Amino acid sequence: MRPAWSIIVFTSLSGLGFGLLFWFGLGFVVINELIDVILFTVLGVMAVSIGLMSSLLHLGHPKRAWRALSQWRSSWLSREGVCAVATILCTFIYSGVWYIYGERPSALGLFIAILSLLTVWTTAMIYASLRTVLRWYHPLTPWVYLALSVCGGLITLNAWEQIIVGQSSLIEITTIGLVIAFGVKSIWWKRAGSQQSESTPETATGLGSLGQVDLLMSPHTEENWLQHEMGFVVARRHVYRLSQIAVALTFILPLALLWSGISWLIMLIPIVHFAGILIERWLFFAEAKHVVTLFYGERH
Amino acid sequence: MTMLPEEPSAKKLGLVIDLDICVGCHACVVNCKEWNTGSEGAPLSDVNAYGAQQTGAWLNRIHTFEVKTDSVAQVVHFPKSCLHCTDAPCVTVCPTGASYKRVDDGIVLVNEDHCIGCGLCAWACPYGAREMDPVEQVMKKCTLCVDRIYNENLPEEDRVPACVRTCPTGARAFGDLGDPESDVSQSVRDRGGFDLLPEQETSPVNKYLPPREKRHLVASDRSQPDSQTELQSPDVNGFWGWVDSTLTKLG
Repeated sequence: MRPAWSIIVFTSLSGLGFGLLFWFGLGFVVINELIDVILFTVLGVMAVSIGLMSSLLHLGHPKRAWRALSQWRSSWLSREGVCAVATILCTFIYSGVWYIYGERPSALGLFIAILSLLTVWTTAMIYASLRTVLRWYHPLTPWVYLALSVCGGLITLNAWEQIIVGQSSLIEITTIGLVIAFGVKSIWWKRAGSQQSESTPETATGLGSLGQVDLLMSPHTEENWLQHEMGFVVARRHVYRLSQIAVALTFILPLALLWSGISWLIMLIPIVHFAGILIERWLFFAEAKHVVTLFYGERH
Repeated sequence: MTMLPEEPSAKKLGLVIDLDICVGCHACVVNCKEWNTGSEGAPLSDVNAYGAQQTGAWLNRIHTFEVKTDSVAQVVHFPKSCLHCTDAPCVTVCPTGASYKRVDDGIVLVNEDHCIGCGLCAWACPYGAREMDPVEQVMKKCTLCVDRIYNENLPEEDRVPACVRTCPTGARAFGDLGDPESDVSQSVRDRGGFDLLPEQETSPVNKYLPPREKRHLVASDRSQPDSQTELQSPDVNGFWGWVDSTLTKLG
């Protein structure tokens, strides 16, 4: 599948943002003064909103995007929109009440934490529900998104504490978060990647009973939209090297920096981690093969 | 509404494509383009149609496959357009309600005024039946010529999809596959019509009839095909070209 920047930025940044709002809702965020509540809200909502805006760039008709909130009964993309908007609205109320009355409305916070996880889940299900892309169509896919989102939130909270109070109390739990996220992603890489596709050019054409089927002539001389969108091949040559870089930036380097004890290095971790997530997400798309390519001469 | 009809429609309009007859002339492809570019919705556009790298949206395409049978290799021309699936995955993923399946006759359509051009339906379709219009930026697909088949302004013989009307060999037949007594249903029964990608569980309405066995062909000194030559990597320029060459250097 073609890795479009708009979608990579959308899933990465909104994933991080909802991870932040999850911990914010649970009350994990260290607040020195009440104004910090507003600051953190801006941080979280900005990450989420820039991510969502980026996804709008992917649309042919962004002005009609509001219609996407209507089909939540059947469409995961629609559910994602509804959950995202609900989370953002609740966060505004949550922070407003907290700021005005000086006390955290913890029940609403818990609700926001659940909504944030739900939003990340719905984002992942957009991909995990597509039977046409075997690599995504795996029960672990939403768990990868969830683990990376929650982990990204923790990493950023660490940096936040370093900036606000000059030290971090979350080193241990962030370590656990990173190890779990690394574990889930590694298992996904192994399991989702090694699935054998039932579909072949023979089942695609229904001619398997006659013999082996190969493409002799494409329907057209130039690459068409389908091939451009779903027949992306550039990354496959570099998959091994890129996944090594992704693992190093997303998990290994942040772990090392986390225990370095050097304040400015800990503040850097979110940037390193996020760069890793961008590559991880790029591979998520670039490595995925769509069943339609079987009609265009590929064999999975 | 992007929910599928609760009960599958009794009437299932669709096509039966006879792979034994199709000669791969692409007339159906061209007539489909011609009809749909001038019909009620936005034109079915092309970009740079006379240039070196043209692109455009088409609703019907013909692939040509080689089948290595036990005797000789056989060439099969393979027309492919929307199969108007009973369990259409393209419909349920649509976030706006632009995609829908008609309750009355099972035709899958897109309301172009509500489509946001997110492309998710094309990702959900295993057959490549949906293409983004490069100019209008909305999703296009086969309408089964809904503006012909019920059109009383046309002579009766023209009230079939454009691809069916134009096929010089009669390889495409149009009818109600929900009616077991219809001509199309009977031909599916008689000839062993089949579904494409049945493992995707889309229950397509359109069926394909297999090529008949070739009787008078005998394999003579069938040489082994060349061992698969390595696929040439595509040329990539610009930013991705730089990424590509840098990573290649890294080994």
